[in-house]
Amino acid sequence: MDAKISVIDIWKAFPTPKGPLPVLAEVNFTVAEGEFVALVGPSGCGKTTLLHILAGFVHPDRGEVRVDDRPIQGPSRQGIYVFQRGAIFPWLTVQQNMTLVLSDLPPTERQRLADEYLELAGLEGFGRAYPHQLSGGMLQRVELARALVTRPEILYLDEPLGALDALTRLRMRIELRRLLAHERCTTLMVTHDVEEALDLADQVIVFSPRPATIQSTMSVPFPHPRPLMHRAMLDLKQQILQGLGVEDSEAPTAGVPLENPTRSRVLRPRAGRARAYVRSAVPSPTAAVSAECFDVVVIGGGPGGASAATLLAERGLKVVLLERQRFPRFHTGESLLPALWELWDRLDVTAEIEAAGFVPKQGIIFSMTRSGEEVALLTAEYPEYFPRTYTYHVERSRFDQILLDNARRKGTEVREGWSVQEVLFEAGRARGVLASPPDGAPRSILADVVVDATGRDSLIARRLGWRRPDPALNKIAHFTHFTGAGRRSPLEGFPEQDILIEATVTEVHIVDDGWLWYIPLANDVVSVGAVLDAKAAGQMRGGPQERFNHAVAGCPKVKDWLQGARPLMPMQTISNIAYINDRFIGHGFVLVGDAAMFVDPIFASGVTLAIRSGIFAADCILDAFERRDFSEDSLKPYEERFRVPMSRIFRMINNWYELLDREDGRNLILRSRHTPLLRERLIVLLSGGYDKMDLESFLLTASQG
Amino acid sequence: MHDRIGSFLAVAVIVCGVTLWWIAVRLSGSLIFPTPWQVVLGIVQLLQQGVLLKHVAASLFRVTYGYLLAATLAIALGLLMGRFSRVHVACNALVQILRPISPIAWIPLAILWFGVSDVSPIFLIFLSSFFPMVVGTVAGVLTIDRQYIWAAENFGISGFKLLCFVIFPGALPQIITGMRIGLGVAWLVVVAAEMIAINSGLGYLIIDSRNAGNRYDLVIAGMVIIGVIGLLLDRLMSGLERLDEVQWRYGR
Repeated sequence: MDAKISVIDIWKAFPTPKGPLPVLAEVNFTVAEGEFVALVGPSGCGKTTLLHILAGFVHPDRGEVRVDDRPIQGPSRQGIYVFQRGAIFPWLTVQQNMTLVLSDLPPTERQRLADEYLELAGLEGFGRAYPHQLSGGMLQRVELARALVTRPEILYLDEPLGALDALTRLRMRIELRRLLAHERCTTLMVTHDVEEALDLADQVIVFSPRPATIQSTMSVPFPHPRPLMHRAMLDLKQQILQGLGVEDSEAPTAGVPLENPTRSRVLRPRAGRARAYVRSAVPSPTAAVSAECFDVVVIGGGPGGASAATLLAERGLKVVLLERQRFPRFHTGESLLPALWELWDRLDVTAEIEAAGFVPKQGIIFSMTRSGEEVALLTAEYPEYFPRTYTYHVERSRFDQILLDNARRKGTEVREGWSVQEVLFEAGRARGVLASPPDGAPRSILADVVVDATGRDSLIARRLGWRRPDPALNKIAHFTHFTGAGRRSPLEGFPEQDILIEATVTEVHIVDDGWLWYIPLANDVVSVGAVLDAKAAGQMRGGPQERFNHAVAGCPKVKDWLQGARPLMPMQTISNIAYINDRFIGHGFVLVGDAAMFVDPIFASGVTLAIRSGIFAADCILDAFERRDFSEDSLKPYEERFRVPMSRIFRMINNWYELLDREDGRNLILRSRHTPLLRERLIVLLSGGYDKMDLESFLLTASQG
Repeated sequence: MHDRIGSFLAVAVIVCGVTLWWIAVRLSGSLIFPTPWQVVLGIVQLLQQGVLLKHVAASLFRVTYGYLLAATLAIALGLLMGRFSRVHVACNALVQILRPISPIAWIPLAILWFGVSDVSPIFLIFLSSFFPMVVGTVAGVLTIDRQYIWAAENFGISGFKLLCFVIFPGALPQIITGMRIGLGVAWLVVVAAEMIAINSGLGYLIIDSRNAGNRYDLVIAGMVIIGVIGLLLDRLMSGLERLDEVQWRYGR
């Protein structure tokens, strides 16, 4: 095999005020014709300088680069360089950029080639655009098209996808592979993304920190498209990470993307390990132990994940549920809604919940602190909407345990204490997860469908940048549990009819800059939280405890009840409360519960929406299995049944919110005392009957009133 | 909405200024200093006599010649200085020495060399606008991102083509800034130059009105016209900043 490129003993140092800074030391390697080589190393190690030398922009202090066995004499059209930050001339249109580099050809030929390559790069119709009018991903494609149109023998790619967001990056990787397959040039790519290198390159060269020396060289003997979640690939990845001094060999966690900013500290290689020479042979076929395979993997064991898993396993699918914590565990969101009865019936869990001894809740009471007015909205006033006119205040540790046990009983393989490092994507499709058992090495678990029920962590949505906080609903919540606190006596403030003497209500006390929840639980425990406008809270002195105390001090009734009460845990905080994702599904995955959206807590809708979405998602996934089609189109019904209506509601809550916590004639709650229709709809909404009436028109009329 | 308030305020400030001027003249009882209304009448009179357009045309003609000559030479020299470090080293010292000398200081030499003719003011205008444009062009070339030059070399773009398609457009935003400053200075200087000699131009109008009978209404009329034309010229130049070719710099 003749070498296309020979890099012979390259040394390079840069002058600095403190003397020369060595950047490259004794770099030797060869690249065969048509080969794709990735240069991987820690940031700032000198990879880019090496690529500059290869392309002829910079001269080495020592050594030489030979192409076709001739020393290079500066840059030439033989090898085209694609710059990290892009070097499309911004003063020329896309078309002019293409034709300028072809100016040795006759004009008609120039035009034809430019059109051909723009089309190849999926940019037809953008010829007359100026670069600043294009998105980052499109610019990168122009850059590649301009490089390829000159038919170079060699392509130098400097972090070609580095400036793009995660999803575009993934798409461009596929695009890059397609374009290169079309041209078959010899390619050298600098990257710090190990996964990217493994996906694209035939050979990966791992560099040490500055001054860069070659640390190891590995071949990637897999055909495209590469099985990235394949055991052997993961082993390779881990070996590269080890070569970079990033991972501990005892507790390997392959699959942590290097570019992940939250993990950036692991990028710093350890001194002792930096020179260790890790030689990787081609992985032996026996090393490629097959990963575990399931039909569905559910991440997260809260109500949403457990509900989805229950229905899927019940119908005979092979379902594994990975939960990071061990149940029972604390969770906020204790106030449930009567709409849940129908959903519990579906899950076949009603009897257990009834037997659990939770405190009944018959409605919600709004208390206007300033005027002292109180309005109780009880589900029993309109008994025709729900099977029962009450619901429960629950300890979530208990309640969630019941749902998870139910899922287990229906056939779900529940694994507690397992943490998921990442969702494995292949060609934009979710193929499974990489997860670690308690105290164990991570392993891949493959599945046709991944259900993300990771709650507010929103694993997938965050990675794909789908999460949209609602800036207008920028609230922060501080909350805890108390024992020894007072509570409303059962009859106080209620209309005489329809009272369950034993029952409690969820209390909402409107205070300055927000409101307090007061939820009586069993065993003399109450859950108390302050939901505050984040901006106003930010201006307050002190931490969560002080803000909570301040809010409580503004409400004599709650203050009185909490006199002498003892908190059962430190103050908890949730910020940036409300958000909704752009999409709830993708190829091979769905998002349920809080991982998909979170409405304001004033609706006490968290558990209800989580279970609803879990059930809807399961229905949709079951249909997809009938068809054996897990594409976006196939999973779309879930999106249409759940996200579309909920996002409309979400949008309207904006207008609506201020009508709840103001204390004048426009206040919805106060108005409901005299307007029966408004009252009816308000009660249905606050009982979780999102599908029981035309919410949209209600929200519209309500906000106009 | 905001713009409308802005322009309303601008007009209001001008109206206030004019009103104060009026009141001041009235209160002082000055017989020589004109009121705004007398200035307006002065402008009308100049228009009726047909001399205003003659003076404006004369001034603009001198500026056009001097400025275009300066722009051509300054951009050419600036591109060379920016591109070739030898040329830069050779010329920079002289440019930096000549640059801070006020064009007014050149008036005696201009009269000595070119006498009382159109050439003297054109020469002064050339000198005044040349240096800002050289400096702008050099800076423009030197600050072109290195990767554009490298990319051009990579594709074998060199010589005249490199200059036309990479260096010049890459430096164009700064060149335009230099041209805008240059034109402002040119207009500033034409008036000063015309005060010395000859028999036309807005500068001549001002001096002549003072000398030939203390017509201060016409002096101020000349000043107002100069200000308004200066504003229009600047607006014209800022139009260049809206070209598609420079939006990458200005458009963001």
